[in-house]
Amino acid sequence: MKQHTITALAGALALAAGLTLIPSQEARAAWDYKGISATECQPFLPTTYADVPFKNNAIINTTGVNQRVICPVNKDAQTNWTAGMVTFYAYIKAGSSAGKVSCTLYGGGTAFGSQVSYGATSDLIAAGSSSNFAIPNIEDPSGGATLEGWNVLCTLNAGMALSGFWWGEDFDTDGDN
Amino acid sequence: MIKPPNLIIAGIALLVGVLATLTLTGSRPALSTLWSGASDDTNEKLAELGHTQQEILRRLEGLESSRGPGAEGIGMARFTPSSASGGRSRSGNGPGGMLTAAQIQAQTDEAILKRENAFVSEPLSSAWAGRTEHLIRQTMDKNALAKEGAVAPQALDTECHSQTCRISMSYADGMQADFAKVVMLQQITESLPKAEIFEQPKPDGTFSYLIYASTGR
Repeated sequence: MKQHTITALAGALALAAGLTLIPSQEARAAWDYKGISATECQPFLPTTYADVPFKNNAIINTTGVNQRVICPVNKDAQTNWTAGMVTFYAYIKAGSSAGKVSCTLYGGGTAFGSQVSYGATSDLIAAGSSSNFAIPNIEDPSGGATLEGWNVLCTLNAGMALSGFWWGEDFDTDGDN
Repeated sequence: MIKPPNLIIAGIALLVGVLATLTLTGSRPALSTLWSGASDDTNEKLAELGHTQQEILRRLEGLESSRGPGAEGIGMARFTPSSASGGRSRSGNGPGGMLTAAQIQAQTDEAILKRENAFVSEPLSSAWAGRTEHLIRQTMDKNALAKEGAVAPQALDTECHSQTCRISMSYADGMQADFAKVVMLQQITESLPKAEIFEQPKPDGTFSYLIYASTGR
């Protein structure tokens, strides 16, 4: 009888230990948001650093003509981007005159053969105004996940500033999908 | 006083319970959110845990009945957790599994064939095709490219249907080709925001791009 009592106690302890180990519901977030500061961007030749100096919170085209910058996109390497899963936003501000920014996301193309691009152009932003614009429905190149980096290349009209990017992945982050 | 063999049984039960829970959930354990209200998923897991606990008790009873008085040592119950799925499944190759050049070429050729077949099958809208082909040729005009610091291609061929344009362009220099591609794609992005781009270095040293640019619809 004593042995059965202790056995039952051991079983209860095991159950209690198990109950405390059930994964938290909060770990199963559906969206994973990321941001990039434009101060991670670099001039894309023939644009030079002198053409697009950094402010403390943005990169700005101080010339009178279009300039280009290229910026990294820190994508989770093990996540396949499929249609509807990702939307990308760029944050911009106009200088003393109205202007636009165009951005194109590039993925793949060196190690895996094909490259994909997704682009968008902002509306004409009034002088001194801030805005943002979206590049939607971004997908990895055919053949599945790309382990190569994604980049975003933006063309800034004269006087336009780019402060950064934000995107959301509609995908669980706890790794058990 | 509790006898050492019973302490061992209690320890084994605790260990088996933990292992069973890890196996059932297939993930690293975290603190419970039972207090925040159980979801159907949590209730299901509780039910599974209950079944596992009964199985543990059954095995323990089996161990006890197989032991005679004074027997030395207890054998660990054989327990083989199922392999956890770990991270997200993915296609393609990860570190240590990179494709060979031949495999990449084969994959590229297959992708081009697939794109070309889709393009050829696309119905023709003469109005859209004419308008969009004109836009691309304007963008790739020598003077327009020069304003952006780019160089015109040695050869350019453009054909549009109703949502997609096939653009091929050749350059003597790969860097010139890359920059012109960048300029063109940004200039046409409002009409053709999506593109799949195939690099085609030629044996004579020239560099071609084959681009399928589309509305993305």
